[in-house]
Amino acid sequence: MTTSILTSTLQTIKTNWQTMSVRQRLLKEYRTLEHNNLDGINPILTENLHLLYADIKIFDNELYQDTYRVKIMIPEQYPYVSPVVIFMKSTEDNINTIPIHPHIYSNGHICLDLLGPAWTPIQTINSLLISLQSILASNSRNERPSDDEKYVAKAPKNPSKTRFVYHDETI
Amino acid sequence: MLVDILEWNGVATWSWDVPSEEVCGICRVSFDATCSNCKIPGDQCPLVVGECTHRFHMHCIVKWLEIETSKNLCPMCRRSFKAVHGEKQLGGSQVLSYIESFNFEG
Amino acid sequence: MLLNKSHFQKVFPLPEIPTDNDTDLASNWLLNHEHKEPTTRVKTALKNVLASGALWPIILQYIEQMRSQILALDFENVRQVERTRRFFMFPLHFITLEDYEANQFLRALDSLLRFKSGKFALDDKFFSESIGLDTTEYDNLQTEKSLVEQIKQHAGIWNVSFAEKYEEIDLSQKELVSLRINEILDIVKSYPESIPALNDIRQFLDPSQRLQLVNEFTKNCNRYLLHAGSNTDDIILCYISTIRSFLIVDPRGVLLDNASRPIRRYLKDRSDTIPLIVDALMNPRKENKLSVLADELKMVTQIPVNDLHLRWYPDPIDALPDFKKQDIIESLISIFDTKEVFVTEFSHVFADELLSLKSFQFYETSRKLDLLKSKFGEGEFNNLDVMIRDILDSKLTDHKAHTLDRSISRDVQFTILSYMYWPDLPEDEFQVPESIKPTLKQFEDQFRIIRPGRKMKQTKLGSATVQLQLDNKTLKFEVSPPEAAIISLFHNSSGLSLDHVSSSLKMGTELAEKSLSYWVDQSVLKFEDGLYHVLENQKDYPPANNHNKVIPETKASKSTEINTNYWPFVKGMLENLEALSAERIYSFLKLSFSTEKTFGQSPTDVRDQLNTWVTEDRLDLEDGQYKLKNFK
Repeated sequence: MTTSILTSTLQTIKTNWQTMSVRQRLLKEYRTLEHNNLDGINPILTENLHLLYADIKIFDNELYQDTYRVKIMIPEQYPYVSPVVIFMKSTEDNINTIPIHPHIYSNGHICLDLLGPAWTPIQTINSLLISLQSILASNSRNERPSDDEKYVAKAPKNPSKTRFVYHDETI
Repeated sequence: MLVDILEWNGVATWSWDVPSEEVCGICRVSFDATCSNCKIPGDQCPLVVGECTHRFHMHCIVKWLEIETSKNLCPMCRRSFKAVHGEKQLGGSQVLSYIESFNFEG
Repeated sequence: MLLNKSHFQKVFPLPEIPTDNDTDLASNWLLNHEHKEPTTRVKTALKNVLASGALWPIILQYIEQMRSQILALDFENVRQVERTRRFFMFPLHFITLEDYEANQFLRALDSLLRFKSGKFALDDKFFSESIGLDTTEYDNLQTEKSLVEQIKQHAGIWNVSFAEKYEEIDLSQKELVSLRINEILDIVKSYPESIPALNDIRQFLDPSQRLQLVNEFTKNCNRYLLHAGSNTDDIILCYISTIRSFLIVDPRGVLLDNASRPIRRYLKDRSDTIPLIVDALMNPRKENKLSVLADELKMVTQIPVNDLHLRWYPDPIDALPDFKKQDIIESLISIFDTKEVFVTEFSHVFADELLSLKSFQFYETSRKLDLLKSKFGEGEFNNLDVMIRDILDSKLTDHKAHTLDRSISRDVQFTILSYMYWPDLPEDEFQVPESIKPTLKQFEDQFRIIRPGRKMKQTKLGSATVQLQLDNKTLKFEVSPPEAAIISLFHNSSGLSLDHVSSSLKMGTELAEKSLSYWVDQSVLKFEDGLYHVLENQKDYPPANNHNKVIPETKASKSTEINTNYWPFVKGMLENLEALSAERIYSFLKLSFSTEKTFGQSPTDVRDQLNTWVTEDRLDLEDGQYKLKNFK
């Protein structure tokens, strides 16, 4: 195979990518989300295809009695790049707490490898929500990350700009 | 009675030689249709099989491998993704060379 | 107030003052005179009351009574008005009123009469004068009335403009428009012959008449067009004329929007609207009533996009392309909420057309697709692009396969489809005849080389030419692949059961049975004691025409087919539409079964079958319309 063919292949692929649309996959995912009725996970879709929320409930863990809400922002490069997910409060809907967890900062940012280096395009919003629910359900440490104060003081708005250190795979 | 078939104009359908229910794990579309970026199925939107046996639309996996965070890993099993040659190859030959170019870099 | 006796006596203590009796008598007569002269006694009473000045209050009472009585009347002609006037004037012959009193009385009477008598009071000049009409007005009216009479003569003449003739006479213009408003539905239907009449309407339409025009049109549409008895193609034609006509009358399209609404709503609910439109776009035959749509489709490419501008009074024909609204096809598409329904229908028709192109002459179809895209939008037709591409690819693949392996018989060809993009591909499986198997295997091997990583699967679509050599005859048939596979089993063999046939071909029993009965209908097989036998000696049976290369199906088989396959459909159709002509039933069937290549029935076949159903008491035939028996 000659270089020119390779270049032209590259060219085609590159051009096509610019128009690559996530729409189709997102619509499929949303359809699944709405039909699946996951226990304790309640997705809230918005008019914006790239933004949704989900309310999460945890069962059988005394640490987590409330309903927690995550905001999920889908980047244009999805699913090649992970969504941005943060916990948030909503006084309107009486959601007043960010769950306390060694990997969840008090500003709602989450230090989860799935949202960073462990993300692959076969993950879905669905699988992500289940992972979030399970890291809460399986946690027994009632504490914030050790650097919470320092991080929150300097944290960028978008947690994907943060370079987390993912060392604790067990939590 | 003797029966002779003089002419036969058959209508067949084609599909990729993969289990029929399987969809591409990246775009979630059937292999027999196209990735979300293509319009015409078949050689223009071929499949790639990894040595790990995982399959994807060529355009889907190539785009993933181009991204730094992929570290050339298969999205399914997170083993290094190497395209299979020869018999099991799906689609045109340009594909493989292109995939290989990543393997060199990786 | 009526003065009483004691009052009078106090003020005028004179002997000639009217007695109670006089007042009563006077008022009694006045209020109940019945056009009869008063008696001498009453005359005296009147004189007395008049002299005393007490009459006016009674007159006022009389006027009051007159007012309520006249208002309750409905005059039908001038004579009645005159008579009424005379009646109420009657008392004045016996009473001498002061001038101002008499005037007041007459003014009251005449205004009441004018009010109630409307236009026909004007018929009589003298009478009109007498009730206070200005006679110049009257004279004008007479002239105008003759013009109105003249305008009535223009009824039904729409291919001539009368604009110039009435250029300066306002009333005639209004009158002409009124006439046209009454005729509007027929004028629209007569488009383009009626363009001059439509132009007259545009020129003379008074703003106050706009609503009337739309109302009259929609009323007549509902009454005469939008009902079960109208053919859908006629309604579509009328819709097209409506667009063109109303854009002449009101180029901004405001009237069109309102006028076309009921037709749009109705067409949306008719199940055959889309098939008819699609058929007309795809199969531009002269005899198709809607062939105008195919012409429209061709026109599209000739309109430069930058030439769109609004003109208030466009010359009708030149102006047509100027407006989005004037795009007949887009307008028809917009009746439906989504384009999907059209695209689905198109893909059926395309599938049918493409698969029947044995020699891969897809250029025509491809060109049509390009035209359609310009109307429906590029994105809507991806499936159709793939379908056409499949046919093209099949041609290349077939050519390559035959080149790579020259031992593959040229008589064996394959079309290979991307199954996810074709509508309603049948899923029946079956094994091809033994004699084809090696060739198919060769072809599949080549396919794997040409299209690496892909596999092929046979469908029951396609066609095969088979030659049957019987004891005394050789017959040729063009049949479907399953039919060919089945008859191949009878090669040197006879007396097979349905089970045997279906299991050896791995074919569903339903398809096997259907295909077997095809051969029974062709008198090649007969069914006896649970087995299918070859009829070796064809002499004893009605001849299948063995001179033709392809033998036409016999009437009997067709009839059975219509009977079994189409009866539920015809029934459903008549339940919905009540009564239909044989032609319409035929075109319905044709459209509805167009995806099955089996609908080879002629209009005569269909009519014959309908008549059979009439004799079977399933249907009634009245005035050429078929109805369900006992249908309410």
